[in-house]
Amino acid sequence: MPPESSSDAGLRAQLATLDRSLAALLHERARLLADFRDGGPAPRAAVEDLLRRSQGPLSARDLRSVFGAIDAACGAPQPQQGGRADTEPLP
Amino acid sequence: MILHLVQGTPQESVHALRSMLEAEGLRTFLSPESSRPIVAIVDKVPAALAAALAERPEVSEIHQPAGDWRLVDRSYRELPSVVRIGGVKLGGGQVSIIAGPCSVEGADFMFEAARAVRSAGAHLLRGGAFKPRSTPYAFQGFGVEGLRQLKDAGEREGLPVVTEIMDAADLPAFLDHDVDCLQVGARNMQNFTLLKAIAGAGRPVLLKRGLSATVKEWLYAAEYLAAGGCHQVVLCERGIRTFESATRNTLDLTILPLLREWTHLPVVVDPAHAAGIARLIPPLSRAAVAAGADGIAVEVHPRPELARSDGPQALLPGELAGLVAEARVIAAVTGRGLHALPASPR
Repeated sequence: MPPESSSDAGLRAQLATLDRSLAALLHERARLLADFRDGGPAPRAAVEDLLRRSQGPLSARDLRSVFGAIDAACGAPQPQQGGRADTEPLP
Repeated sequence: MILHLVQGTPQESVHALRSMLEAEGLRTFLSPESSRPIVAIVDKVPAALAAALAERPEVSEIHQPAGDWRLVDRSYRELPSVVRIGGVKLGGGQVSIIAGPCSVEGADFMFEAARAVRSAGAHLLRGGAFKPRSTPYAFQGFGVEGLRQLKDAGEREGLPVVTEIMDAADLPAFLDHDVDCLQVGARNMQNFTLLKAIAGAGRPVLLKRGLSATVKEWLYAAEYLAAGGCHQVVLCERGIRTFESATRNTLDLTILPLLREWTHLPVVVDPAHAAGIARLIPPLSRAAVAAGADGIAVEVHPRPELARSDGPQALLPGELAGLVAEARVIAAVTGRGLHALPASPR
């Protein structure tokens, strides 16, 4: 196996830092959700709004999938099956 | 000079060391630090005695502060200090937001403002009852009646209150109205009579940086409070006067990482008084949190055009909510978090 280049090592370090930031933001999101005290289900992520603002490179399907997993981890109700197709490209 | 003693040093040994130093004519303070005894020596230590101290078995480290302060020096605490204002902590890896109108403008107005502050997710309610205005003809505040209106609004929304004291003679009124945190404004940062008077009041103090004060002068002012018995001091950077006239003042974020090295005190940034223009406040707030500020202090008003003071630098409640959300994101990616909202009284 060839030795890792210095640029790859730098990218790996950047990815590790971004992953730590993502984890920190997800924990912060969960803490904020815990402040809702009305006893109802946790609000779901406003994915359609996120998709309108997104310019990729993740596809709409991938973004929906990621936020579906976040909603599930945060205890939000899951969407009904058979809704809008999730394969259309981002605007 | 600050002496860190070996963890577990018995109280009798600490007492004996301080007695020896005081017999040499040196004044000492014992840090409230619980993890290990830390002793500050106020006066200049003769070289021979300093060498002897380094040889003592109970002394593990000797620190020299970067300036002529002792009790606010970083080395006087094992960890950066955390100041508790009501149920809200400043410092300790959490970011808190102080918000409210520049001036208390009436009881109903304060209830509306406090509701907006809480809804936006801020933690502490500010509002001026005694106003230090640049001209004698500007609104001077409602005085004691303003303290009552501020405190009532804070209690209704479960928000501890912060407000400025300008005269030591007013201290009993601030205590009677149970003001949670005394603010010393920029113009009074070097009013040493005021600092000494409030140091023993048993209340946290938010010490704003003077308009033309150096960092060292600011820390000397904080040292006055600490030497007078106040261990709950929060520094507040609010912009300094420079040659730049495009903004009201120049926000000095350069000193945030330096203060981390020099002092254990938490630091809040007030971008509103620095910029003087509301639209500049959100990006300056983001920069302050990114640079390590423990809190942000801003002004908010439901109708800034009608504000009795500083309307141009007041955020709308919706803008405050956006600022809080951005502070949450930036705090998280810098390894910290936004403080939880204080418990609601309802």
